[in-house]
Amino acid sequence: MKNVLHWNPPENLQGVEVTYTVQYFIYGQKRWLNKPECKNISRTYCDLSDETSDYEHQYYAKVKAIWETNCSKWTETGRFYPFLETQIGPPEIALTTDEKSISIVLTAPDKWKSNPEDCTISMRQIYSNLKYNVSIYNIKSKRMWSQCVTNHTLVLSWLEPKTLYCVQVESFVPGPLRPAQPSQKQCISTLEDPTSALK
Amino acid sequence: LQTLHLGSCVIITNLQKIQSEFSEIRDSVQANDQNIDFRVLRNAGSLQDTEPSDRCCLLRHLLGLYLDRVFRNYQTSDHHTLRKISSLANSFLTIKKDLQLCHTYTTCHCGEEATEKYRQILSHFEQLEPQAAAVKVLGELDILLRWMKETE
Repeated sequence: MKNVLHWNPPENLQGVEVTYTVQYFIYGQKRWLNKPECKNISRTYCDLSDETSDYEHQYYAKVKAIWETNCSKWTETGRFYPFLETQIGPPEIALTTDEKSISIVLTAPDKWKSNPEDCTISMRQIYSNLKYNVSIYNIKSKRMWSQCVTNHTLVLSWLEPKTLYCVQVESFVPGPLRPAQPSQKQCISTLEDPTSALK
Repeated sequence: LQTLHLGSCVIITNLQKIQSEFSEIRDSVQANDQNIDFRVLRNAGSLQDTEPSDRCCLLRHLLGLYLDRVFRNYQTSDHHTLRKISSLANSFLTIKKDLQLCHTYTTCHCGEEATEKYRQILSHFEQLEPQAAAVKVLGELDILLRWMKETE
């Protein structure tokens, strides 16, 4: 739930020093609120994560450009609903293996927090129906398959011994599409089958 | 499919389908809402913070509000939006029929809490002119769906 407002500079003001001011609004409340750290700034983004941290509310943001003695009209976002629209990061992945199987343990991502001292909230607590899309690659055969899982453990059985497999996982919540953020690929090799050594 | 626990009334519905259908028209509907400083479905009236025994009645009233005074009053020339509203209305009608069954078997009790919460929501709704109210409350459908999801 790291919510950053981005905008493009005005097209016809190349070479002119332009600054920007941002305000935000909580849907249903009465007035636009200032974000002091985003007043007369020259960058084209503003981190509104703290201001929009209550994901039950819905928000608007707007920005205007100021140059020389002029200022533009406000440009306003649509209604932003963090609960529905936030992008959910990938889980942490732990792999263990034996000759013919790989065990995958997934840990749900944590809610983003601006202050490391804040208590940690798992996205699982926010989205009880959080699921994972697990993609598995057999590097030797170049074969790939995917599985959708709800709980946090998955055992892949009937694998080939002494073979490198790579795993990549995405978190998702059933419902409207959200941009997905896959994990890094993690690879592990199944062990050698001791019985095959005896033949 | 999701199972909604509304006291002794338990119904199964497809919230994700409803949410996905609404998501297709959400931005355009919300963009038509000129009264962003006013909210009809407020956290105080939320379904999940209502006594389980009163949830069925409150939801039945809310669905009735959407069917009778939101979907019916929303005016647009955009055919895609009209089709989506029609589909949403059918989904709500199905849920309302299930709640009606609960009502028939006296598991949809209207207690003081449900009655008072709906009265407040209705008073917020009626502070706006009918068409503006329809636009606003249709734009708040994702709030209602969130409430319903919380009763899972």
